[in-house]
Order: sequence, then structure tokens, then C-alpha cells
Amino acid sequence: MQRAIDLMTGMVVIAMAALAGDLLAHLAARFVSMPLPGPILGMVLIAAMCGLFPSIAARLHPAAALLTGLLGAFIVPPLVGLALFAAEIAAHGPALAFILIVSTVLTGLVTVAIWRIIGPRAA
Amino acid sequence: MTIPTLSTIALSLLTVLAFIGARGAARLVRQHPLANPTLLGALIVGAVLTVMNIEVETYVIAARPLGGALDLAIVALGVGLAPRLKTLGRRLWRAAAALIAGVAFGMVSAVLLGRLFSLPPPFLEALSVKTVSSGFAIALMEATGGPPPLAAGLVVATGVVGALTLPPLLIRFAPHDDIGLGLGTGTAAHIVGTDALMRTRREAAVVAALAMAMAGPVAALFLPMLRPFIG
Repeated sequence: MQRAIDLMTGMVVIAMAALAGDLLAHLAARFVSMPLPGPILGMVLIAAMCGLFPSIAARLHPAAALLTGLLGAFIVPPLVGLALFAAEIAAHGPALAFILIVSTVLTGLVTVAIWRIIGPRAA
Repeated sequence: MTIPTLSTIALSLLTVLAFIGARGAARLVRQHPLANPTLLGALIVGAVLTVMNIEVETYVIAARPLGGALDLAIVALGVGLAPRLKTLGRRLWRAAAALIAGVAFGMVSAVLLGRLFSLPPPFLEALSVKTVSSGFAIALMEATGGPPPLAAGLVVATGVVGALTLPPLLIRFAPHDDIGLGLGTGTAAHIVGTDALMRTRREAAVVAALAMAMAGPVAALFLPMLRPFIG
């Protein structure tokens, strides 16, 4: 029963943080002309809240685990939606595939290489 | 308030069930990188749409509520961030330096390679944000006049490429470096990479979520500098 209550409470708190993130995103776009997505700002808000009040983090855990466990499912629609650009993508298919693979793998390797190279002095 | 139609409910349910089935299949093959549940789920959904003769556009419109659920899932990632930030401690600046360099490299390399292959400007615009999560990519495209749907699609495709290639590569490179694994995967493969790590290396996944969150604002700062190479 307590778990169900925590799940519902967690969902409400996460939804409120998402709304607050959206509001902040609108304010950022309007006053500092910076395109910041609401969900990312909501995530920062939740992280700050959990950092300041660790007991809240424990109560949010069931809802967070449920949502993050299904995160991959929520990415399926835009991936299927790529088919809408099939003609354009087919026209540049090999080049796009090459760019996505080479640039993505090198980006990951460069990030880790820098993390490790500057490690001994900064750690 | 919009009342969800039967097709919205049915196609959203199909998506979630396809993903859960794909996740089960991935467990059966011990989370082999090629058995990425998001990719498998998309293939299952694509097959069902073909068999049922449902147009992709109809599906994408009907499955829109899942976009709202994605927003909530991204917010929920924040629950595990605070303890990880505390663990990073003094290493936070080192992680930030790696992240900034990675994002800059990802954006510049994609645009320059796109120019090398003479891709049209909409593709260059979409590629310029491929290293940030789809929420950021869409916001950045709307702010700069680029193509949001193409950018969102390429972002997810980038995530799938990164989720398939980077974790096995980085684990071979440094098997016990969870922070490096999370930083590299989160920066290059954002949400899909984070999701892949969530099932295999949870510690690294939290760092990946952190990298994904920070990559967006960094990309927003770099994008104006790239504009001359896109237009």
C-alpha cells in the first residue's frame, strides 16, 4: 500500500517538476532568447530537490524507476517516424550512415579520452 | 483537454508492449548490443503497421502522448543525479571539460562531414544538433528555423548507433571506468545510450543522464558559432 502511495505521489511530483520546467523554458526563451527544453530543466529541478532533501529522493524512487524503465519505449515513435523521411534519407543514405557512425563513435571516444587524459592532474 | 481516441490508446499500447517484448528478447540474449530494445521495438511496430496497413504518419500522430511520457521519464532521471554529482566531487570540472570537448567535437564533425558529402542545408542543420537529446534538438531547431522532425529522427538514429557501438567499445577500452563510460555514451548517444546503460551499468547510466542534461545547454552556446558553416 505504501509503495502504491509513493508511486502516485512520485508521479505527481515528477509531473509538477515537468510543468515547472516547461514554465522556466518559456521564461528562458522569452527573456534570454535561449532555447532550453522544459524536461531537461525539470530534471535539473528534481535533481536539486533530491540533493537538498534526500528523504524525498527515496519517496520518488518507485515512480522514477517505472518511468526510466520504460524510457526506451517512449523513443520508439520518433524512430519509426524516420520512415517519413525515407525518400530524402535514401537519396543521401550512405553518406548519412557514414556520418552518423563515424561522428558518433569518435565523439564518444574523444569525450572519454579527454576525461582520462586530464585525469591525473585534476583528480 | 483532448480525450485520447481508441487508435491513440491502441497504438501507444502496441508501442509499450513491443518494447517490453523486445526487452525480454534482449534479456534472453544477455543484453547483446545488437538486441537494443528501442531498435527492436521500432522494428516490431514497423512490422505491425505494415501488416495492419497503417500509415507511419497516422502512427506518429496517434502515439504523441508517448512524447509527454518521454518528458516525464527525462525529468525522472533527475532523481538519481544528485548523489552522483556528490560522488563526482572535484572530478566534476574534469567531467565538464570532457563533456564540452565531446559536444563541440560531435557538432563540428557532423557538420563538416555533411559539407564534405555536399548534403543539403536542412540535413546540415539537423546534423548540427545530433549530439543532444531530441527535446533539446527540437527546441534548438524551432529557435533557429531548422527542421525539427528530421532532427528528432537523426537524433534517435544517432542514439541507436551510439548505444550499439559505444558501450562495448568503451568497456573494452576501460572496463572499470563507469564515469568515463557514462560520459562518453551520454554525450554521444544521449537518451538512447542512457537507456541502454540503465539495463546493464546503472552507475554509468546516471552519469550518462548527467552528460545528456549538460550537453543541451553546451550545444545551445556552440550552435550560433556553427551557423556560418551550415547556411
